[in-house]
Amino acid sequence: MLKTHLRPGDFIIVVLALIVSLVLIGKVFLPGKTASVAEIVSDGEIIATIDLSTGRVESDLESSSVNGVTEISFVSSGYHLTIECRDGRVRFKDSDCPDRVCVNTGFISLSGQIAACVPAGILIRVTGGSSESDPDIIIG
Amino acid sequence: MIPISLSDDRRRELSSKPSYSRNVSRRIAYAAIFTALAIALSFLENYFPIGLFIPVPGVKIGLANIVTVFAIIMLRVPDTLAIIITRCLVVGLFTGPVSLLFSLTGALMAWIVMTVMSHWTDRFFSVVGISIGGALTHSFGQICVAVFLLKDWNIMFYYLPFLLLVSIFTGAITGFAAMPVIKGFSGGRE
Repeated sequence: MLKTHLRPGDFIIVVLALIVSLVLIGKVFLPGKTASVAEIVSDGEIIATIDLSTGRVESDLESSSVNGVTEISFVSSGYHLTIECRDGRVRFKDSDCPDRVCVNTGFISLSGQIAACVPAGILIRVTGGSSESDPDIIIG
Repeated sequence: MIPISLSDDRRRELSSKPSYSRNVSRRIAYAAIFTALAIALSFLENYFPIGLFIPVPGVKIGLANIVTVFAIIMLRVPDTLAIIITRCLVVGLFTGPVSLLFSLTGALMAWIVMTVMSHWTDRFFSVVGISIGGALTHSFGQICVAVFLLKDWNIMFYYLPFLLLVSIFTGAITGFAAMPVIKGFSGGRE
């Protein structure tokens, strides 16, 4: 008959999951340095870079800059995306993709953070900044 | 000792359960009822936006996992697989092809892991442990899809730890929810 109390394997699996996630969090996020550059990536290729301190955009995409707020609007996989950069942070400001996970991610600014719009196939990652620890995370 | 196929004991135990009946109509009816329930739970989930409290983009409780756990313990393998795939396809009709790819990959990987784990039910894992294992695998599968679609390995390291932490809780919630259901269906005796 089915037992209703927890078995030893339950605790082992929880402890293992905790260890894996805490080790990953510690490795990746403890050096929480402010990033200097945001890269907009489509299909593994960088289509735009934004200098987070000056808001200057290097890209073929159209961008506008008013009062220190930089905006880039473009269409990817049929979805209209607006990416905003202000105060050294960057975010998906608006998107007409179905789940809007990208917009709900909010601003990112710490080196290594990412925001992704999977339906549109667009990724923003922020990198650079003082004393890098990148070798920890580059594997491919 | 790893029992890959069912032991005689387990087979006798299972054949006493109504849902493991030889009666084909009965099996189809069970599969249909639980597919409908899983689809309903998938939609009900939208009323629990735990993403508002847990700042990890894309998290959800995974209420349909209650049905999956129940089916893995109580129903036959093809019936369980039919329930999972039909649920993903029907829900996918409303959420689009990208979400379908995410849920189908996550659900099938979770199903494989939970099916393997269920061989040790009551000996090493309880229903809750199996459910947590499924939730963890589901998250891992979804991250794999995200890495595949966006071709960026960083996602694995930046999202996975948080998704795993959340999965421990969501897996425990669905596991504790599935337990009384399974107990009720297996006669409620102990």
